[in-house]
Amino acid sequence: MATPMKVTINTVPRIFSSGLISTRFINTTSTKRIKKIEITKKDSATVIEGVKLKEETHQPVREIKAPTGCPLCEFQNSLTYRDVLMLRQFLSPDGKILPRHVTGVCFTMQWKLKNILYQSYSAGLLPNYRPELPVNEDPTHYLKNYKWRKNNVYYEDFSLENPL
Amino acid sequence: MAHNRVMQWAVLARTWWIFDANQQCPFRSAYRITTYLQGLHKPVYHRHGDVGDHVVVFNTKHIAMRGDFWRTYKHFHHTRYAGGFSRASAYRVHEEDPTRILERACHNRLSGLDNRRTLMKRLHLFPDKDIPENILENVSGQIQQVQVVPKKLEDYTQEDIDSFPQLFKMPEDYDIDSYKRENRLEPDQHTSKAWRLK
Repeated sequence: MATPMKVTINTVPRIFSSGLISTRFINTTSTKRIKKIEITKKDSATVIEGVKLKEETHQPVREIKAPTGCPLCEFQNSLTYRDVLMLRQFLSPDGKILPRHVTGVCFTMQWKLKNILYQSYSAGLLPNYRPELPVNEDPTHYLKNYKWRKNNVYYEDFSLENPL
Repeated sequence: MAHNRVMQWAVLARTWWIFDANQQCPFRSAYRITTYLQGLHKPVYHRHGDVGDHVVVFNTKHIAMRGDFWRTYKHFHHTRYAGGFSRASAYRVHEEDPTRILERACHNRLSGLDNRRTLMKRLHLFPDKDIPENILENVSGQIQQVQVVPKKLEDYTQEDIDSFPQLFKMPEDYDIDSYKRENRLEPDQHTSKAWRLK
């Protein structure tokens, strides 16, 4: 009599203290820095390797005081669509929102960030990222500049900075 | 005292104010402008006393409206003949006359007043920075703006972007190019209908 296989998954509780949520516990390569996959083809051999990138000379990372480990939880009442320098850190160079396991943002702030980024794009504060279209795709369908788009737009926010 | 006499002249004189409408909501700025037009900011204000001031507004071409209001906000008009009703959305009105929306906002704000027509004559609207000198030489005060003027990401220098503190650190084993999609030879199935029907 064939018995079904028992599969047990040992779930380890996530650690939120550092703000970085690592879902993987096994690494095939040494974990030092951010990496970039490069594929090199020689005759009858392809080499795929993760190349380390140089450390960027940015400012040191700010301390996260919120108990959730979320970098945006402290600003949940003051974050507006005008804080462009803050918002650009949560975007990939393609203009997409980085996922939560990369940035460490909590669920509610990721939901708010999505709405705030939409406001910031449509107010014209962030650059207009347009994806590279597939080959043989007609670009005229995507280039709809309506007559009312050229005018200035603002959105409601209840931050203390705004006098009214 | 001579000093008191000068103070009395200053109270009864018509002062000229200037207001920059760049990136400002027309309805909120009308709320602030009409207080100066009526003289509500003065302690000697009375309805039947003519103590209002002049207000010069410039950059009215660059006003900002909330959300979808450029498309949805309408100006109505009726000629009182049959079939004389007409309407126009805000962006169409703004194309024809860039001072029109702020003028109507102030006009509606002063509704119910007998002296509305004289108050509106003391409001001077200009679409650009260009103000004639005979008007600009009278100006002696500035009205505070209603909203914060936002700054684009393109206007920041690279030093400002680098000196801003980082909010989080990337995980150590993260592929940077993972967001990218290969530029396919065939059209995307989400964008092209012909591909989906195949």
